[in-house]
Amino acid sequence: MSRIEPFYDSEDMSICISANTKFGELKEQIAKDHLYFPLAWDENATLLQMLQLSPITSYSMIFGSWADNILGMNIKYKGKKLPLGGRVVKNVTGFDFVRAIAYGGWTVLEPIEMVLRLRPKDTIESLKISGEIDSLKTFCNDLKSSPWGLSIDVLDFYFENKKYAVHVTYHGRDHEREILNKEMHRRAELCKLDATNIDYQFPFKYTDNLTIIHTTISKTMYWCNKLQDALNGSGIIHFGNGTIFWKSESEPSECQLLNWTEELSQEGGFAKTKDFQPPVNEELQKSHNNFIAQLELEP
Amino acid sequence: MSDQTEVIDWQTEWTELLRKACPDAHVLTDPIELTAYENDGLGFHRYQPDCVVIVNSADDIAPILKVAQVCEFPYTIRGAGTSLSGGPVAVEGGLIIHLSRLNKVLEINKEDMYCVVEPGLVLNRLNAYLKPYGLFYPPDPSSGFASTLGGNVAENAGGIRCFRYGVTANYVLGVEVIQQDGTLVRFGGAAAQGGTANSFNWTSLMVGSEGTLGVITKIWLKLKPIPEKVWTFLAEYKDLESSTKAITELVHMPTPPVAIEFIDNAVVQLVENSKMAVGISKDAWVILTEIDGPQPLVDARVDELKQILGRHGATKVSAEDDAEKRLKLWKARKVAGGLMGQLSPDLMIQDAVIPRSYLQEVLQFIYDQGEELDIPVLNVFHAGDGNLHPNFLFDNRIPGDIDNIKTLSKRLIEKVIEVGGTLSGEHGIGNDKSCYLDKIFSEEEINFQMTILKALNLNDQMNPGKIIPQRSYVGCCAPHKMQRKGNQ
Repeated sequence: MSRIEPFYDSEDMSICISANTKFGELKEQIAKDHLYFPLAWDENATLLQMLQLSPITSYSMIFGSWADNILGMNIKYKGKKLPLGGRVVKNVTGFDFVRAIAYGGWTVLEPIEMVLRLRPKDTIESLKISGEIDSLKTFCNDLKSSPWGLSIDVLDFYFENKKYAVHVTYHGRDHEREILNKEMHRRAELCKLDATNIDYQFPFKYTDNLTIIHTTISKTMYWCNKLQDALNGSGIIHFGNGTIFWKSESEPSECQLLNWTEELSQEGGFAKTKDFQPPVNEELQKSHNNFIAQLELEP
Repeated sequence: MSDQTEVIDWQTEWTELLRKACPDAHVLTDPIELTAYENDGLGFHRYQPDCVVIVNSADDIAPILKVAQVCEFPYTIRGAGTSLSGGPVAVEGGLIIHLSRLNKVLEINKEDMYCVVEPGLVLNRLNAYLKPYGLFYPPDPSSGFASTLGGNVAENAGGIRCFRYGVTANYVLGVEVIQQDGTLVRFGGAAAQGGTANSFNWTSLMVGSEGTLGVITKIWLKLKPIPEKVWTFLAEYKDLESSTKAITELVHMPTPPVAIEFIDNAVVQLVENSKMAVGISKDAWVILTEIDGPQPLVDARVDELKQILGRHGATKVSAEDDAEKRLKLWKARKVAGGLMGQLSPDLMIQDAVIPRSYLQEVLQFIYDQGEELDIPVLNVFHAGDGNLHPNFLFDNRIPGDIDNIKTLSKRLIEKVIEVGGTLSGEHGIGNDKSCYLDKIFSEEEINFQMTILKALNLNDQMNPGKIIPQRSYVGCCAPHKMQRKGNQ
């Protein structure tokens, strides 16, 4: 028996659940207790699929990455279930393999069960801000660096050829949302942008052809232009984190992904799709191989 | 040859080599100077190193590691030495590499909201540098006025604001590390919020590794905008039960406070009998909590906070937005540890985390056990995270006191594990808690933990005796190892 077994503790706001659970099933199980797991975005995809595609999603703006919200996991190692981490929100007992795996997007040692940190659900409200691209960039840059940036759940920049918009999501009591709404309208007006209330859902599905780019915030526009030229399609920039989800009819070639990663890796970023992620970068190769050898795994 | 003569022989040889390898560094060998390095903030488990090198540049480090390889002595990395689990202490002697002079801010990037720093930079100084940019680095261990960011990363430091903002690991984007063979590698970087492709996230493995996986020489940190307005609330309760009920409701708020701190009645009395008194009723149990953000929004949340705190039988709830008065409240919380020195000559501060739903049960258990063993227990801790910090007061000169402390610690750990908690939330394992590792981890789990050490730390030369108790380095200090251990 593993130290970590499936459980659900609504009072402690945590759950241990199979990594292959579809998000929709998790959502249904915890909704009755007014809890949610904000980082998942496609009800028909499994938790593991979404984690492995990108640890950064829309709600990372306020809640951090998936790795920040996975408290523990069971992995399959040498044919046995091995627990890592635990069920508490702070844990420095031993090396942080939970974060190392959750952030790795790696499929050799993958979680079979995960302990997730859940959040209390509140009324959520979204605004669509539209207008000129430069004004939208100013709006996003100013908002993320201001104290209001601490109270925003989502700051997603929608990028399509000559069609741009920003989606801002926030939660709170009625009077709090009113304040936030007023401030977002004020900021939009200041940038000569239109703001309208909408019901915002992340528009892409896991089954879409998605390319993920991790870069710095200031380089996201450069990369969106590059992806637009190379792939056509449309993208969502998670503006607080510098991550791009790009949806296109066709996937980039391995060669394109490798070239992009070579450029992105100067600052620790990379490009990937569901089916392809770039090989371990040269600098990490020695540490990676030594570790793999110690784990007695195939490189 | 006596042990003492042998020590002098090999010490002379390798300190000479160290001086040649890095002529600009300060090499300390005088036993009086070395005394300052024999323990950390924990205060006991004292081990004197054989030598300390204070480096002036990261370039000094690789040559030092080469000398260590040739001469076969263990080494331990140290910053300010404020840790509370023995992390930067030379358990098996050898060398301490002191990094406090590597204290520069290398870059502050306002647009991308990150900075790059050297490991010896003091945490609060970083926030002073960041202030003109409207940014701050959220983790805030109580030692922030002295502790270095390298130490914070090595121990995965937390602090009061962690409930909302998270711990050090949430903010480290990358690290530059000198590995045991002297190779410089970079894990992550400014654009690494998405982790790593096709491998483990090595940055995450370095955070909290307590100097066992390499020498960190550069750190990329994620930053947040400085909140415009802060309200601090202090609520007084007549008993433990009422205060823990209020904590549960605070934790479940959709927009939770930044911090939820619990101060027990004994600590309240201590503070109120000191110069740091803030006017709390001496028979109260206290919750200190805080909200921050943009001014109109934070001001609009004040009434709800007051209502929640008042709902569970609070005898008094006060809210403060005046910076000076707020600071005074927090100072009263932060000086609690120091004031405990008035009550007994020795103090052990524990660090454990439990699921928050067990807060009252575990707290009551600790008080009961302390009473049974005649050890006064004082609690002041991060309640929002379930991160307990019970303080055990004792007098090392009284026969039996230290045994009672060990018994109490053991019982606490067993209880914490029983309810699904863990050994440490922010102080690390070091050599203080390594003896409990097999209480929480199975043999397979310990072996799995060891794999990373076997990959990056051959023969356990880097910081032996830490995290995993079996770790020991067989080198030139080996003949004295048993003697050192026996002396503690």
